[in-house]
Amino acid sequence: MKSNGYYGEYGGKFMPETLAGPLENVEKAYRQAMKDPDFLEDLNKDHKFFIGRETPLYYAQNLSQELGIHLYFKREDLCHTGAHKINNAIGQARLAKRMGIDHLIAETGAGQHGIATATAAAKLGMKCTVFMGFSDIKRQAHNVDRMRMLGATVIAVEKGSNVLKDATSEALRYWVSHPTSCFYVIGSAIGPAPYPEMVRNFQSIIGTEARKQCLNQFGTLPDEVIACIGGGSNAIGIFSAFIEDTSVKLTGVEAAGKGLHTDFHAATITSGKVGVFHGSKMYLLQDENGQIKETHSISAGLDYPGVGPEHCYLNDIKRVDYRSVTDKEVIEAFRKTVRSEGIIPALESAHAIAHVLKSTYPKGYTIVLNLSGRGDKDLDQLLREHKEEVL
Amino acid sequence: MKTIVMPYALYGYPTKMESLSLIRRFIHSGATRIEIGFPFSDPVADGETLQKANQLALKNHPTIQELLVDISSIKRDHPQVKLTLMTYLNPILAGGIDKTVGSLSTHFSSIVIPDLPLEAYESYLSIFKEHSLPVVPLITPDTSESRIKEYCEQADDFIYLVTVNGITGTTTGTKKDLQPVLKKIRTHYQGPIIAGFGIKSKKDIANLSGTVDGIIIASEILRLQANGDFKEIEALVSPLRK
Repeated sequence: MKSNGYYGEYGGKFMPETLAGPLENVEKAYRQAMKDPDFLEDLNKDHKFFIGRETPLYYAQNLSQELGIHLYFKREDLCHTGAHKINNAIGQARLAKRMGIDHLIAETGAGQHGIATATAAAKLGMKCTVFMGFSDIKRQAHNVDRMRMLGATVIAVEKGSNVLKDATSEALRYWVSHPTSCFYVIGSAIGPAPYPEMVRNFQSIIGTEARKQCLNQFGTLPDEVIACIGGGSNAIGIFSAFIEDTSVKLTGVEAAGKGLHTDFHAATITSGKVGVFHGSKMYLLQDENGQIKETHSISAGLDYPGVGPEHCYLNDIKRVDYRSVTDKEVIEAFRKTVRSEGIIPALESAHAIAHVLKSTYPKGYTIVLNLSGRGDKDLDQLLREHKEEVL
Repeated sequence: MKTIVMPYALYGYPTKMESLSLIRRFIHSGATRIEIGFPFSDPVADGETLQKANQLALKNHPTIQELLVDISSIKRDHPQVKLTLMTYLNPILAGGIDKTVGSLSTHFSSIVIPDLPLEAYESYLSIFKEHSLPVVPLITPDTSESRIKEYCEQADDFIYLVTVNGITGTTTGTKKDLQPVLKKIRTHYQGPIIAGFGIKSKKDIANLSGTVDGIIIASEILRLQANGDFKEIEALVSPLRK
């Protein structure tokens, strides 16, 4: 399936020459670390005592009853820092430490990956710089304060569309300028090899736990596993344990924003075209001249014009079904989940819930949905822009 | 060793017409090689100056087809001047790589693609070779000896020596001693070596003069262009001929 950093035709290393050496060092250190019992033991302890794993597989009783299905939430919202991002951030931070690098840099959209990296840096006594689009800083002011509190420097990126893609470009530029003194903690399953694989593996704990929990809690595998997709880290994390189980349907839910018929969405697989961006060959939202399009999503974390190379491959071989939901459907799913289950989901995760709410399933159908983060970070934005819909 | 200055113009910046007249100005100042940038929305190897220029140029909706039409009269008038295109991979892929590279090869002597490193050669280099459009390798002072050897084997028009660890127009990039890398390149390659990234003053030019075959000046020229300092540009492009 995968060779030399490729998933089918997707992936690879399309980076400035300056990063050739650093990428090689990251890959070498990563391969060694994954075979080192001490490294894996430290990671294991982090999972248990720092992140609070394993996270529950929660039966959403009220929604299940209403929809006539069995809906389970994999509660990544209960991870330390409030989202799945910490699984990967702590892994990469430990890797950097092992390589003798003590300055972490990261891009962030919603702020969750920035917080996770700043948290890992604080725990391991490292320096941290987070690049965040200016529009996202406005959307997620609360998270910016948290990052600063954790000791991180937050760089506001006022370039392009001032969102996640621009923060990623700026982080890459910084890495090109400081190739040996800092470690780029990429937050999603994107970027040049070995990042997509590395992020997948650090996030695969979600799928490993979920699969085991399914067997323990209801004695069989689910009919379907659903996750939201921006770059695709939470989705690949949970899918990874089920890919070989062909009886399990896998569904990724992208951000259709204001509608696929408009220019205001981030549904990359649904309506993108193959290209090369941020170090990897993948589906991309681009114009006919190969310029990267500005994207839109109500959730800053899904507001990205590309998607992880493994997702592109899984789409092509039809192992995963990629769908999309609009901002409007997301707000409704958010409100419903809060009221029905007493859980405030992140707007990103609410995309997956929105897909369930609009779909039809046979009675008794079992779904495991990755609730990738909690929605506290989104409350200011929702109360500012959608007060009547959520109160 | 005679060192030339290879100036840079960004197609569409500030307008298509003005970028073309800047290219003609370079030629009148004595430039024998010119680097022409084709704008990209997310130029990750470029600093502030080029990023802003790219954003402005994109507002004029440039296309590669238009660039070729616009460049053709310059090439017709000055067939001896070597033009090198600099852009990122995605604009080359968008219109179908085979077709795009084929049409580019009619006017350009070579192409610089910062996000097409050695690892990606396997997928794409044969297409460029087929159309006789050499891909210019970018080699940095930290590029390993084995990579340098491989790049040199594939190099044709010239080798682009990145003088700093950093982005274009950098003021903070780590300056490196270039002698070790030059020695490694010379072991495997006898063609022109042209240095670029972060070269902006006459002092920088003087420091490099005689050690490399050419010097690319991009960000500084865009800055002077924005200020209308064309005399200054002329002085930068032609000093080494005096």
